[in-house]
Amino acid sequence: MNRNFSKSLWVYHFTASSCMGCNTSIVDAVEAEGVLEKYGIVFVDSIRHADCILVTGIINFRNLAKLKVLCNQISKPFYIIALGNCSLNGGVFNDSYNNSGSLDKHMLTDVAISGCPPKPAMILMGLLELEKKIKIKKIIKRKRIITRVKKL
Amino acid sequence: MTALEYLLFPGFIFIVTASFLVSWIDMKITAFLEDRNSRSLLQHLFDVIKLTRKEIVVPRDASIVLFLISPVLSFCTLIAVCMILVRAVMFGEGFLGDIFVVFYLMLLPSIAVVLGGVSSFNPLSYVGAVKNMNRIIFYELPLVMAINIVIIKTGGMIGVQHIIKWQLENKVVMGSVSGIIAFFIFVICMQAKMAQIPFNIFEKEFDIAKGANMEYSGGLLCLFMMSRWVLLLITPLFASIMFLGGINSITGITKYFIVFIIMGIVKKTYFMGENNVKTASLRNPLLVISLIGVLLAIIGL
Repeated sequence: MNRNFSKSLWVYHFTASSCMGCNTSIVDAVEAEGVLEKYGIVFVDSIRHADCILVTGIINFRNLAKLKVLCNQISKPFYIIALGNCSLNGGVFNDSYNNSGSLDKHMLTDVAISGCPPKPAMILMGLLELEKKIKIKKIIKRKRIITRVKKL
Repeated sequence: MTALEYLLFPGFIFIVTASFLVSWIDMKITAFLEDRNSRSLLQHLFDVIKLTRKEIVVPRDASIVLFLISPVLSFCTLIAVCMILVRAVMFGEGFLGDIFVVFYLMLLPSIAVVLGGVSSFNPLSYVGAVKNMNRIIFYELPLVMAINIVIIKTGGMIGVQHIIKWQLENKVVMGSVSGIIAFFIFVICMQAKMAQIPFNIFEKEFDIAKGANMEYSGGLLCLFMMSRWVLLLITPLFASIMFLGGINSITGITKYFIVFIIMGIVKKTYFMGENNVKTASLRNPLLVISLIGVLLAIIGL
């Protein structure tokens, strides 16, 4: 059953105070002749549809709260990917007064993709790495079938 | 009908499998025209199994009954429509006036999307639902006119199997001027019904993030997706029954795929031309053309 999860990964992109370098790389990866689509990876617009959150940029105190809200809103089970040096260790904004630290410090990150900005091929490799990881893991169990949460 | 027929042929499993196949072919055509890779044949199956295993999240303020019922309504009505059409084509079975039942049932999925959007109590879903209602008002009247033309041309036949029989005995509706006009209107209206480009404004990605379906997740989202694939299966089938005399033989199946490819190319042509066509501006010309078609059909052209 994990095979279905690993073959169909729907990604929600969360931009946390990014310089947009990573975002440009993501656009390049998506536009690369439908390679992502071939592996069942789709970028979705609503957090409810997503299986994993792709985080770019440094995590400051304001958007850390928003990221936690998103993690509450998403349909479980879900995964988190840190993309770019900023979400890994602060990158060029490491000394900023508003930097709350790496993403790994706040929540469990499944895959980290380094680079400033990471190449489109690296993004594809990272997403495929997550698919591989999901496949190896034990069968995922959801906690409940229906849950009621706050509106978006 | 036995339980086996409901389950296997022409029931649930046949329809779902055929819709997977048809939507995969549609994706292949789109990918070919855009010169890029497309999804694998089993991708729909992976998506469906994954979504059914995911949690269903319901917003706290949502009307839970409407929220849960709308996708089920959407999917079940389309399965019913498909069964009526397949039985009429394969076995020549049906009942008097089933064309009106088909027409009525095909309206319900669009209404279900509106209900789902309104019941989810989200501002963006509201906007999506209103835009979707706008879309319904746009295409329903010309579609009725197109079906009227077929009924007039076949001498007042109101059963699907009777329309097929009449066309096999006489000539196909597409063989006349009014028939061609009706087919043209039907194709455009069906593009709107299937929410294809440029009529997908109610779920524009960057504006309102999937619109009415925004709050849906897990199995409920899966039902909405599957109803869209089933609609993709039904539309060319309905068109080939109404205008080309059914798909009884091997040549009939070619008719189905010709209509299917025409609809795919029309979709991509719109996209290449202009992305943001105002659907409201298309309504009046379509109505005028359809009225001309009805008049021509009454004259006998």
